[in-house]
Amino acid sequence: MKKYFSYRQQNFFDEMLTPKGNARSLAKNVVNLIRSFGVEETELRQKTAEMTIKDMGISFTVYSEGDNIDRSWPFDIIPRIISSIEWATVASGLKQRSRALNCFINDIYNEQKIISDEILPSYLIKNSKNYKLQCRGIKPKHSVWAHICGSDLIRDHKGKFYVLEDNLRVPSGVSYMLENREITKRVLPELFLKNNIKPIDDYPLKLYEMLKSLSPRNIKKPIICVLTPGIYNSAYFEHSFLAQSMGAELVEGSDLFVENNFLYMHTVDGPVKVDVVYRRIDDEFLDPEVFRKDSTLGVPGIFKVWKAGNVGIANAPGSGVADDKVIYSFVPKFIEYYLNEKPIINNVPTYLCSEKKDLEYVINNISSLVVKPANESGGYGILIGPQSTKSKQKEFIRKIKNNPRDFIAQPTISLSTNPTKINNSILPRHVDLRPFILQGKDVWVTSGGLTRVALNEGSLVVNSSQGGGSKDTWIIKV
Amino acid sequence: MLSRVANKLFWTGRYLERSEDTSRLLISSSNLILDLPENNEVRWDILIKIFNCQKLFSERNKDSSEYNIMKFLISDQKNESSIFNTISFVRENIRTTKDALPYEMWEYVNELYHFVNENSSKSFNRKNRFEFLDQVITRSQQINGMLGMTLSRDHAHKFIRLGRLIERADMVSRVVDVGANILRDDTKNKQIGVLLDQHLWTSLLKALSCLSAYRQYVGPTANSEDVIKFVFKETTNPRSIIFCMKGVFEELKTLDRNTRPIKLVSEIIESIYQFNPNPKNMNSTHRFIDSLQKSLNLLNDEIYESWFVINKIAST
Repeated sequence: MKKYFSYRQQNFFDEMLTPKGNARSLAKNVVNLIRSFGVEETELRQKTAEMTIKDMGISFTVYSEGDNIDRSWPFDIIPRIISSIEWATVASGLKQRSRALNCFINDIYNEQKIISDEILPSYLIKNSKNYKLQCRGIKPKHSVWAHICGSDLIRDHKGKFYVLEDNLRVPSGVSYMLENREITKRVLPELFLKNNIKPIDDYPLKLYEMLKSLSPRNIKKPIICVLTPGIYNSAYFEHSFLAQSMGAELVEGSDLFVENNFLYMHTVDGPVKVDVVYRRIDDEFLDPEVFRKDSTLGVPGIFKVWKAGNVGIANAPGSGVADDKVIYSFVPKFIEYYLNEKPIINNVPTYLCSEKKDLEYVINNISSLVVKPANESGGYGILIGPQSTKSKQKEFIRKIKNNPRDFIAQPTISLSTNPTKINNSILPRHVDLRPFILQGKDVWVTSGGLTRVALNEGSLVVNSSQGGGSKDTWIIKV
Repeated sequence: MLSRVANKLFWTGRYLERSEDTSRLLISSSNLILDLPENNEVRWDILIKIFNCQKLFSERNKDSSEYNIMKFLISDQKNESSIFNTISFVRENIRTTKDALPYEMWEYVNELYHFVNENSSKSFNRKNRFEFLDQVITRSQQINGMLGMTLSRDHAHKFIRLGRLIERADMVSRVVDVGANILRDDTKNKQIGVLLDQHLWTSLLKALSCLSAYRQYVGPTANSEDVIKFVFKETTNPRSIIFCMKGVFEELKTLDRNTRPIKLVSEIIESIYQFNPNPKNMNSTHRFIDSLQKSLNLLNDEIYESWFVINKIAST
């Protein structure tokens, strides 16, 4: 019989085992412990984790499931390990990226030097859904727009990190990153004594400090709100979690109102002035006076309060312009242009269907590429060439030709794998990593991030809304 | 505190109290019925009367058997006051207000919900019923104890307590009203007589969770006059209506814009002081309870109008 937790991963980079099947040096403690557990004890620990998740009520919503608004969070007990030395480089790369992205957003809504200097063609901005004309001429505090960024990282077959995309609108997942650590501490306590694992629970404090730095009033305890669309949103658990961990108010649109160009919330003591809104609703729904008129989730008038500098909004309206996957392909150029630095982490090579040469390449090589809509998130509407049918590919070619600006394509990257408990075995499954970058007065990056895992063999889709799981991520000090 | 959140916490207090009180009522009435003479026609439908849901019950059930009534009150999702529903409401309210509460609150309430969800539909029969109801009581008290020990004495505590006290006063008056009604009917039928009287009022004290306090304070004999006085007027009894109303007064006192609710609760307190039960005339007790319940509904509305509706008051 084959030994428990033993495989040889030849084609991809495995986070814990070498191609010969030996434990990598930082993973030795974990590998040895799980091997000593065997099938039964591992199963027991996994069950304990699942019970904990249920009791703690850690849940998320899958929109296609109708009334079931709280499915338990999918979690795999085997952690993912990264060395602190490697992480230091990644973290400085992420900070660099965040600074460049914010320079770009501030520029594009003001001087637009990047266009006059012919680094970025103007038609890409004109045709961007997330470029908001209403934001022209606004300069938010610290000139920062995207205060919270969740960038998705992957590793290729050599183990090198790449940025796959930047999520600058309302990135979610950070609460699950924190809860995953809580659960792991409960179910694998023995490993925390043996390994020097960097704590991650400072996130809510850092988030609070960042939000506080956006307050127009210089007071000791500004009023900070987390604005949620409500319990039917897939990330409601997280909205409530973050509000609770920061001691902030969790509000819905109807709790807020605008008067005399200030923002207030309805309280039992009457109206109370609000200083900072961490909004978890999209631009389109934020203010029916400025964006979608039929939105009932937002606050009428909030935009002009923000424009007047009387409230801080994170992320600022219009930040999504840099979330676009077409704009993404220019980020390395932004880093050179605005910061005069070389990018520390690379982009995945990206073909823009709006460029004639690229479009031709994409159409001819669609079976080996991943095609993505420029403005979707959550893994919706993508085509993975090697895993798709001829008719699907034809359908996508038609869509691309109709709307070339809306699509990009990337080579199919061999995502790294991490050992994962699948029934009675430990098998390699593909993972990505979403760290979170905070930028207000300063820039800060989480130690690690949320590791998402595609539970089906060979699958590259890690999104929890599409059957992905998650793991605790350890940055081990070396 | 946000008005929306205050409203949800107020109802959390009411629903938590309701599920606990209902559980206790079902235990003590089950016990009472076991003690009754064998040929006595068991009247489980008094439980339905207590909740004032005869219409809904008869729409959903052919007869008022013990099984149907327990099912209706424990797990029927169409019955707003069933234990399953009240606990579900508590959980939904906490889901959207947990940022105003201690961390343990969501975890405890969530565990209570999972317990009720998994067990309510198999707990109608006598064998499992007691264990189930007992668990609901214990877990509710665990939640209240945790809140008592950890929740800051600010708005969250105030509104939860207001909800709890108003619900308890309402429940006490309902339970006593049904007792009074039974005795009123029984004046026509003297067969059961004194035995029922003692059993009934003892069991009623048990349902209201103040039997041992009554025995210490009044003595082992339970009759309508002493019991009604004890559960209406005794200020040291935390399960009495006067205690609840004084608590409501205390909480309202420190809130802004409290004029109307304060006036109303003061009137209620005064009327309880004036009230003296007449054992020979249960009708007068029934009339008093009727007007008390109307006042409690009004109090609920006044609280709603004063703090939960969103009023755009000109800001400065």
